[in-house]
Amino acid sequence: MCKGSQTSGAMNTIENRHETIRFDNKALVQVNDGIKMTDDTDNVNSTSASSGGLADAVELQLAREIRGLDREIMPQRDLWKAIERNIADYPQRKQFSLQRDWMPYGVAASLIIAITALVVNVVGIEQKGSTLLAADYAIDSIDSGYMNVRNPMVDQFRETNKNLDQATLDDLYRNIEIMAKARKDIETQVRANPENTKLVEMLMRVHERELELLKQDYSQPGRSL
Amino acid sequence: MNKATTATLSGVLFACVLAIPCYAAESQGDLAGKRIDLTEAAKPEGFVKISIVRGDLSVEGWDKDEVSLVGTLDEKTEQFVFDVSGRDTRITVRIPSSNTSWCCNEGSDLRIMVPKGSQVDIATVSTGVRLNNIRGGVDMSGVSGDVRIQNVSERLRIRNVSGEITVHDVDAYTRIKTISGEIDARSISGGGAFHTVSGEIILRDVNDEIDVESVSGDIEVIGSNISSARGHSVSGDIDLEIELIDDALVEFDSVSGSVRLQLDGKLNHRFDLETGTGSIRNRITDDKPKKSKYIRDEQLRFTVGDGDGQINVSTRSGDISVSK
Repeated sequence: MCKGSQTSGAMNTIENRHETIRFDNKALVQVNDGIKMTDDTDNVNSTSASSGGLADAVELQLAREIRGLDREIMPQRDLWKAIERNIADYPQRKQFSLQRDWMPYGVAASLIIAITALVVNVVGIEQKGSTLLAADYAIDSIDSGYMNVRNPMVDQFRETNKNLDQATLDDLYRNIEIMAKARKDIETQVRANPENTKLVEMLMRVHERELELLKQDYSQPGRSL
Repeated sequence: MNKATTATLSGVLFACVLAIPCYAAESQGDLAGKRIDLTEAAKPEGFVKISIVRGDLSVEGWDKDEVSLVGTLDEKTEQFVFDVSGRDTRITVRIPSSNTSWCCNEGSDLRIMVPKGSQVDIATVSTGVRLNNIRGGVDMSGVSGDVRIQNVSERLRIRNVSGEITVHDVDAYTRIKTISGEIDARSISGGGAFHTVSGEIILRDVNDEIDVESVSGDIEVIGSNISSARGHSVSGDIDLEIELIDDALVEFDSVSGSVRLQLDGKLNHRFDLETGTGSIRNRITDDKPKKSKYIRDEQLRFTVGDGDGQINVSTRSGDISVSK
């Protein structure tokens, strides 16, 4: 800012920063009889400013100058034509080149991920986040209770049907796996869409059918499913 | 009468009940693998219960008031029962429930004729079943055998784990449940519920109330005079070509499957279509779906005619198409 003060140490730099304020190639400088604007900013280096009220005076003068300006200033020439020409000459959509352009997208993606994570973890924690957390908790709880019922029935199924012919037994185990996969798929969907009551109902029906499948003694003809 | 006399008489009575003979109940050594040809008089609208573990079974209704049983019994037959008692007929082929003894033979091969007005209940494990012309209703359950059923009235209920289920010409409310088996049902009058987990569901020429559900299998329904059609899938696609009555209710939803709905005949319905990340194509009216500003979500609501009926279709990531 004030080149002259840079040689005077850090404190001076801070104190003197208010003494000279530069606008483009002009500078407002306090002199003995007030404030004046100079075209040569380099010359202000030698200007000494001792008054502690310089900053306030500069601000006052600036405000006065600003108030004195017209509220609307028309540009000296019509700039819109040049703007439109530039927009036409340099369209925003360019041919995408992965090798050349991956960096901005990577940065943008990182930013989006970071912001999303932030929003989810901090901002959204009391709204959607809590719904999802509540759904996760509810599904975990349902799953835990269900597995407590199911797992002993799997053991019982093995024992009851151990004498079945291998082909039928393989077929039944394949279908038990199909049911387990379907249950997990629906659970995943319920976690993602906890407001979808139809999915929850479907999950309950799959539970019911899985248990029906497991409780059956298939060694003799009877009721299946 | 003192207590001792009462107990004695009760014992005698119980022994008499147990002594009511079956037509045939013989040991494995006598009947295993043997050919049989038996006929008994039966009530025209009786109840026939058939229990066969494995093999092939054909059941057919006829005009005679008789039950006829022709074929070959399982080589491992442990017990065979053919019992006609009043309205009830019972046919059972029991084999030992031992893994090794199941090996290496094909089971029973039986053809059973029953009065066509009978109600038939069939229980199997790995038996292929063919059934035709039963007017008193059919209830069937099994594990892995394929099932072909046609010409049934009154009631039809099938529960099979993995075998394919083919059903034709049913004049009754039909319930079919399977896990991995495919359901192919055609010419079903009276509506029905068709549920599978991974198998496909194909319904042709159905009417009235239809309820379909699949987790990963695709669903295809072609029907007319539909008063209510509901269905759910998780990842399976749903294709519907149906003609609705005026105030019909149609509700289908899927998670990742697409729903294509082609509506024949006159429409008088309100439409409510919604997809999460998929797209909606409307070929019935010029209404365009509304897209959410901040999330990828499309909704389309419009009414055709007076809007007496209601059509709701939703999917999370699949596409929706409605056309006429």
